[in-house]
Amino acid sequence: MKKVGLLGLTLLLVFLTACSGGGSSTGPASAGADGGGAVKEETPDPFGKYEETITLTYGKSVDATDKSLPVGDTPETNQYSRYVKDMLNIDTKVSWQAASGPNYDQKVNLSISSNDLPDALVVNDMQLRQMVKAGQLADLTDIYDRYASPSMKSFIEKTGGIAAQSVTFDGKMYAIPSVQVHADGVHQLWIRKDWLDKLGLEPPRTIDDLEKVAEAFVTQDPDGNGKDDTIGISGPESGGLLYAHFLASTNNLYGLDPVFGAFRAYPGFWIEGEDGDPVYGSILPETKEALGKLRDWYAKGLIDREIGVRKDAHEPVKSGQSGIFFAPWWMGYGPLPDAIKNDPDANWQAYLLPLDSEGQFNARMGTSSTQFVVVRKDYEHPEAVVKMLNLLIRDEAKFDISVGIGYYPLRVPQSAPDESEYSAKALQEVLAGTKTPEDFNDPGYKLLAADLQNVKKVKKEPYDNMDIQYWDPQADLGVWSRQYSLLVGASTLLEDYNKVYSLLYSQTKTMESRWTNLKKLEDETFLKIIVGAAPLEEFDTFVDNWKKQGGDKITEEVKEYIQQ
Amino acid sequence: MVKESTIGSKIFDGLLLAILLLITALCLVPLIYTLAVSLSEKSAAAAGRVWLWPVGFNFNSYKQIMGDGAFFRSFLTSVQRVVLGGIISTGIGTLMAYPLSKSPRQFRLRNVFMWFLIFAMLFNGGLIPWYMTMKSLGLMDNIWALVLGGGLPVFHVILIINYFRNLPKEMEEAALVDGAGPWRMLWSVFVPLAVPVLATVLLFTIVYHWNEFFHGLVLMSRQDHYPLQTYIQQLVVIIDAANMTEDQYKRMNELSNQTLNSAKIFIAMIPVLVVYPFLQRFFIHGITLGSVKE
Repeated sequence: MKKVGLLGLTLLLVFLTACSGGGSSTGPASAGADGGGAVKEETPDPFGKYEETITLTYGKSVDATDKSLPVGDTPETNQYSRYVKDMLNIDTKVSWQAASGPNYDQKVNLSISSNDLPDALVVNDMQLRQMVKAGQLADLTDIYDRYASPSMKSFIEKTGGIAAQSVTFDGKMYAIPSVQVHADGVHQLWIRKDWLDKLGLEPPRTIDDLEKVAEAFVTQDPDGNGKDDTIGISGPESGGLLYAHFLASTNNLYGLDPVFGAFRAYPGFWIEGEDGDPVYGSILPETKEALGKLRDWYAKGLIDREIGVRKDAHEPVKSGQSGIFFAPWWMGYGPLPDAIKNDPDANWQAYLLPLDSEGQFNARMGTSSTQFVVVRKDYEHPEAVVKMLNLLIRDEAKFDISVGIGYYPLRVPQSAPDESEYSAKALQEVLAGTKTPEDFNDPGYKLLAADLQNVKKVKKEPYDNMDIQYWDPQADLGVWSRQYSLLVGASTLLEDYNKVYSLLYSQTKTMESRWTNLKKLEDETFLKIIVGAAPLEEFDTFVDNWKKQGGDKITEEVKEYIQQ
Repeated sequence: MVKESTIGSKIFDGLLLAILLLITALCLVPLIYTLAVSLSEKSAAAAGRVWLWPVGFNFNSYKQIMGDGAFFRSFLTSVQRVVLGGIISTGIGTLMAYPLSKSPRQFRLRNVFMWFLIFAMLFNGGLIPWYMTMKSLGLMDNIWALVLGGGLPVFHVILIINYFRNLPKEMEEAALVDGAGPWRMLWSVFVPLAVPVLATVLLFTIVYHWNEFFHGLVLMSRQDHYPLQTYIQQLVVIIDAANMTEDQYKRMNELSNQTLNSAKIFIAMIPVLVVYPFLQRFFIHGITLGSVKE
């Protein structure tokens, strides 16, 4: 019976082919366009234009404060969507839009739970997992292999497997990950150099130095206003993080990460224990030691009294009250523009300090991927998404970026992971005159050409002195933000430092039910210890509780995960 | 009124005055603070140097809003929503309340309907089923979604029922004798008598529709269609820095533009501030009269 059916089908196919081929001899050539069955004949072209217009619907996150769209253009129809249409013949349609951040997440969650999905979406790690679990996503393994451009593949490979790992479930790839600069994960010391100079101090190299400098900042009235109102070290705001952790590993402003690093403590990260098995950094004795020091500092008034309860941690930095904070490289974008507006002499400089007892800076490194492009399971053209991202990587440098690049349909940032340091080095060399802008033409670094062209607009001579008086922010604040971030914030990363990665940047099974509570326990205990609301011995109780309430089980799961 | 002048009563009066002043201050300070921030220099506001008086006085943020099409589009959407919602909710509420204000003897299924309403008031299906219902009704991205979904506030119906019941029976009987049918009874007798409670309900509805942002966020697919509070909410919502990407930190400064946001919040407050005093006298009457039984 089965055979007869198959035979019938074959005959039917032959008949149909004969019919359609009867008119002209172009039958085989056009077969790729009208049916999924003939795809194997098509040579995959990462930039191939569809012969017939295809439609792709997606959910769009938009920036509510952005006013860069020309009159008549919309988040759906703009120069980028027209470019995609012209180059690839993909008609992109916005199913719904929402402001980026919590509002967009809310919409995505609603789409997932009501199974009312557009063809493609940009989602976060949790949402990706949920969708994989619910079987809502297309398997992109083959499509990535065949359609991803060499640039995209090189970015993803340069992360050392982290990016690929984040989207692979049971050996199948379910999303295209973003690849962000790894500088976003390195938290360094930002300090008021003008205060240091005034008090005759040097940037603090060790934990003891840091203590002395912070003490001087608090007691010796570095801002010279005759009032006892300065803060030594800024801390996180209410709801902020004391340190970046494996689920939120980048861009932790005003955390205390480098202090922990100086004790070789990596709370919030899964690291290799002495026996080679994975262990959670927050329960190790090094963390206790670091907490003890922080507690001591808080008692002496060196850390912001309002740590963990402040409404806006930017405030003391912008108002010129704070002398030290820890954050990634891009502070020139914010909060520093407001800080120098309030006090043009505020000379914020960045250093990879303090060092540990062996003179090394230990930086915990973030994940490369926080955003993921996913495709609905039954969508007919899953490769369209990869083609759009290929096109973005290839031509991003060519775009007129007066219109925010966020309007590119389904954009996730993909760039060389070392873009910030590389750009900083190039700028230094061009400023020093040892190289010319023409020496740099690697298309992987899309903003570099503009950077090299613009730098002298805002940087005054001498070109090797980065103090604030040798900059001209008023000339072009936008350019200044980027150049200052690169030359002050990212150039430090050219030094040699110890990069510590978490063994895992996503959740295991038990974490889905337990992690929120465990993390809450951890955050509350540590904050209490620092502000003196609980004794340091509370740490040992915490470790016991943590293990009992699921920590041990989770550690086992992480171990299994690593061994896979 | 004779003034008593014992020390005790003076202290009592003084305390009373102090407490009332304190409460007034609690209400006014946030308002003045927002106004002061909106009129200040941007960097001063970001540094937390503004309290109740502007620092670096200027009108820049208001000038900027005047040129902001999205703000006014949302403003108009909100006005539209308030007008439609006010008419529909008050209208349907009155129609629902009138039969339910009769006794079960006059309207046999009264209690069944009443329980049905109460049940719907106390329990709901949750966000996702509600969202899916709205979607299958074809109400997504549509102003009607905001006024029809939840267009019958049960609490308001109960207020109106109680008010109707407290109206003198004799008036109804007199109208009946004069040959009035149920419609005429409602429009010519009950509604004119119930103006206080209807104004109250109308005010509640206006304030609700003006301040509500969540439905706007969930049901509207385009920002052009957002009502005003949804528009404002997305400006002041805190961005999670841990997952921020390169182009987002470029916008950090605009995101933390407190002066502009304060100005928007202040302008958004004005319509309700203006409407309130006009309806307030009904508001006070309505709520006491409607709830007290004779």
